[in-house]
Amino acid sequence: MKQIKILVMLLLGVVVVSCQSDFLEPAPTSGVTSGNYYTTADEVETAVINMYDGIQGINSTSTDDNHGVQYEFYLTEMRSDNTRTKSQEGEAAQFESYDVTATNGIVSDYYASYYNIIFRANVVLQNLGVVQDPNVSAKFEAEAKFVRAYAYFNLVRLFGDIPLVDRVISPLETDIQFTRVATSSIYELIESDLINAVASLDNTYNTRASKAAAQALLAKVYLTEGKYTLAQGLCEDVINSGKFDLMTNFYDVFYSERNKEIIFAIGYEIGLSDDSQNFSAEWMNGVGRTSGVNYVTDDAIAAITAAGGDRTQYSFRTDPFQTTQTQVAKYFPNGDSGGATGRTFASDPTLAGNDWIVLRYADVLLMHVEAIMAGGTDTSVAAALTSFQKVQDRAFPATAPNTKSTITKDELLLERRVELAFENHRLFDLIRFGRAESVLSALSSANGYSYTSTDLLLPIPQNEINISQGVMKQNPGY
Amino acid sequence: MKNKLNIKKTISTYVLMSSILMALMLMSCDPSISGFEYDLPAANSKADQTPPKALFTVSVTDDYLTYTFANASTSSTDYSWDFGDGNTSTSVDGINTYPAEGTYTVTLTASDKLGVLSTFSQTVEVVEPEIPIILPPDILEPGFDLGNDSRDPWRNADLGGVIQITSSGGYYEGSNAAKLPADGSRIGYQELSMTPNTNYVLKFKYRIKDTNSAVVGSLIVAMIKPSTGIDLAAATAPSNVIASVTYDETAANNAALVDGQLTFDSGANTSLAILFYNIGDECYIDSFTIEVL
Repeated sequence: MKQIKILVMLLLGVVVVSCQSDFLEPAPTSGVTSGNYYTTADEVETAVINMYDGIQGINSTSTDDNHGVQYEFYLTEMRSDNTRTKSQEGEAAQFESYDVTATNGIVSDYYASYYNIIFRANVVLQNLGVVQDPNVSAKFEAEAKFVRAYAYFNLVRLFGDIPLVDRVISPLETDIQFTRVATSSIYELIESDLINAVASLDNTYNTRASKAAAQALLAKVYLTEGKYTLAQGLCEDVINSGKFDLMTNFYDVFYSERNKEIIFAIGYEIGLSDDSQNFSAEWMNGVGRTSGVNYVTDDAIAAITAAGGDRTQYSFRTDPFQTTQTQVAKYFPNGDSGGATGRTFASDPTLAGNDWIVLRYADVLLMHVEAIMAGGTDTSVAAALTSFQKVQDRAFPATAPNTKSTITKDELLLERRVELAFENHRLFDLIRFGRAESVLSALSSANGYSYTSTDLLLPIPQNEINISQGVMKQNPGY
Repeated sequence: MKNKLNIKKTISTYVLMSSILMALMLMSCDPSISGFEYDLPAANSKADQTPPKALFTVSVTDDYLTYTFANASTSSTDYSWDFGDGNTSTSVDGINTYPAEGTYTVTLTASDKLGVLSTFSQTVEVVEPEIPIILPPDILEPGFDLGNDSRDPWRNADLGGVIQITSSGGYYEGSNAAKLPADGSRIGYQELSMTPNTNYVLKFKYRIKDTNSAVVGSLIVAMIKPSTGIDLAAATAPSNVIASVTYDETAANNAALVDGQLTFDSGANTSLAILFYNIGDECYIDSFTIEVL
């Protein structure tokens, strides 16, 4: 009995002693977790880089990976009148014919990718406290807010009302994950994030957030919301910054990377499986996983041939392997057009290093015209004519200066189409200009597609609806 | 014998079986049963949890008489549009051109294959949009004719002291004018609301008094972006100035009030400010007007 008492006392002693906190120190250096990792500014910068890695997406053919911006053309360009699949097969073909189903894997890939980017941005914002230098902290904050606004701007235009996640949330916070918030609230967050980014950033980078990138993106947000004067001011800030100019040769915009025309691009590196992209290969004939996607429609060929000038030859080409088909020429894998068949490349085309251009100077010049037009049917304001002429003079150098006295809304929309073809602008332009209904209905009846107005928004992915357990409601028409 | 019996037995089995089969076949041909063939059984069936719900949004096209109607109905398969002007449609999305201005009630009836109906109505006001007429802004106290009470709309303490008011003969129109003493310590500043991307002309009268013969005095009138909390040097920095005009003293503007004017394009601004200030000599300014070109 006595022995038991002694044993109990001993045991108690052990328990009391083991409660001392320094038994848990030092923290195990081999066991890095998200909870204990961020302790210095350098470590927070890895979280900043991680955001751009999220936009880059994973270069793989696995349907479980997030492919980020590499899959964006399916959801945007292939839903416009610019491109389609080569052979109308698989779920990729749902986009061109407006038959997208809620179970479409490409849609859920993009949705998951972009909410993952928002999560990565929120991680940066959550860990700013460990950054000592207030200037560095302000820069990181601005970069994170730029990336978050960029992701939300794409999501809100593609899906309409969406969940608003403005901090790192836990898996149990299902109310935030599945409550669809009105687009006006999403736009409020986008605006305040971008205003912050404009104030704190400079123009050091063009593959990371910069002041000009934030200004140009905010200008596009304001145009989408009809706040034209604010958009005009921001476009003029970018134009007057003197940092950017048009490349003389249209070809160089795409094949001399990070040039003076690029305001914001997603960087890729050739040959590295972690940092390369495969969309360039997918746009070729059977070079990537698909037999060929993002092939040019007859409608786009006609428009660009008529109004493209020098841009035409660098925008598309006849598929050398299948001459009835037409390929995009703006993003040949590593600039290699694939030889006589269009299918043999010097380096692995599925590990391509072409950057994806999000914002470039020509886009800003045309946004400037759009802002001055301010929703009207035409404009004759001198500043608008100047910006428009700059874009035209590069395309038609032989007849420069290509002066005009008036620019109509349809001329501006056409100029945006041919200048920015296959750069994922067309669908959003059609919607913003109020032309989606007429243009896509006409396209649909000409090709036997099934466009209706509800196709302007994509379905919320069915797996999100399912795991929300009835909280999340689907968009109409799906 | 035994075999015969067996055969008989077999035959009778066949007869029995085929008569059952015939009975079954007869029964299944019973019209009172086949009448229910396509009906769902009532027992254990569930009511439709998601009945049709009609909804649409309206947008006007470039032609003010033509409207498009985007169908946002849920759980429905068939649609019937009544555009309120006698036109109807059964397509998914609606488009209609109205005969004239007026108020029309558009009704969408959405239904599913169970025949459940849902209707949604919205009124559309068809109005020909007015061609916007750009009115020039109002300048407060443009002629400074209320004496010292005229100064208040022209104050901006960040940029300089408030203007003085003169009633010296030859230096005003009406009953008073604004005066800037030779030391350059005072300014006039007034914000005006603007229509973006519009050309304006600001007109005024001014006179320079050669109080200091050693220097050539000048008067500067500028349109600047609204400026608070910054000093005169920052407010007149090139990035802040939309347009400006400088008048140096001459025999003509020394002797009498003369006309001055400043033409400018409002650009991406919904509000701009008039700023006037002087260097070297006493200056007088009066009778501001602004017009849209």
